[in-house]
Amino acid sequence: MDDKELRDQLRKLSIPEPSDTARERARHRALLAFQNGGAENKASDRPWIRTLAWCSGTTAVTLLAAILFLRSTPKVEIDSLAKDRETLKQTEVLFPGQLNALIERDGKIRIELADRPSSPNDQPILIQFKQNGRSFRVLSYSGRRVCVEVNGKSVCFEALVTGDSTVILSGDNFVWNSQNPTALSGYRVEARVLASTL
Amino acid sequence: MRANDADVPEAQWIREAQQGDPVSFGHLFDRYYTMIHSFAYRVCLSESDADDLAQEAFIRAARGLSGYQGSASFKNWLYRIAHNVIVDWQRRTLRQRTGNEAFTGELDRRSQERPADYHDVHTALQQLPADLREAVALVFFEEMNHRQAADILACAEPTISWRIFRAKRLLKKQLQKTQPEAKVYGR
Repeated sequence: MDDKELRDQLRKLSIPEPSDTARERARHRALLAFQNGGAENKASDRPWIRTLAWCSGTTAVTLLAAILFLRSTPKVEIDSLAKDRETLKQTEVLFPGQLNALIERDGKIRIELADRPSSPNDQPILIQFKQNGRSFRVLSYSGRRVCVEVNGKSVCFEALVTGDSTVILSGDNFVWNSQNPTALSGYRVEARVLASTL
Repeated sequence: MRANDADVPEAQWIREAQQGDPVSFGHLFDRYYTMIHSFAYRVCLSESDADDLAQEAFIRAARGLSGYQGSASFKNWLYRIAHNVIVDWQRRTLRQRTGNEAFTGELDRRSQERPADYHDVHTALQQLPADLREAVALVFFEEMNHRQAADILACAEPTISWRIFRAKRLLKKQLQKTQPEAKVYGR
């Protein structure tokens, strides 16, 4: 048997496609490791980053405390949030149970609708994506599936509000939450409940 | 993978993933999972072990992505992680089993349904020590040159050449034993 014949023989070892279950399990666990361990490793790999992070953290906390001390939520912001809630409510009246999201980008608003009406809407949410002066906003309800285009990629997620009013964005490849925010495709994400008490 | 994902430079996904973007990490997973799973299967010859090894490789990749500096291609970096995972698996397997059982991957349920030729090759590969199987997987199946395989397996290029030489000799001997001559030459 020469080398060519050996190679021909070896090609008979067909490789099984990994099962969907194994693939999904591996993806889920790798993403969990990415989101839990990856960030920790990033900081712990380089001591100067840890020091810088500590200094930045301390500065941020001090600044935040000062800002909170000097003023509570500004009136302009309260007005803006109330306006967002009202916009969402009025659009919902037009498409009862079908409104997935209002996406505001570059001054234009796009309405995302579900194919058919679903259960009554839950808590309204505002999600903001920001990157180097660019930004866009998403108004939606807890439990609705939203797809947005980020850097040319379609990113889909469900926005969920927990019992303690924390917002979670649960995507196909990621889980984002307002307690532990991570960037999405380079965009900083901010999300909050549009509480009716505002 | 969506159609326009092919247009996104891989370097961009890597950069974004290193900045903590899980979507970009997900794209890298999608691009390379099957490749790493196949490599693991060719070494361990068991689907369930390959599932576990590929998963572990990507968990380690997720944790170590910040350390990737681009000196090797991302693909080869993943292969190297998979190789380390396989080495750990071999050590565990050695502890759990004894003697010749050590590297004889078990034919699992789905592979029992395959044709006889498949089993001949499977059996022949089973007879190889795992370090030879890794060299075969990279050089014969992934079609890497000996230099690339040496980089991934963290050994000298002549070591790969020697492993391939030994692997070929053992495989030919084993295949000629399991297959009648007419079957090998007659078609």
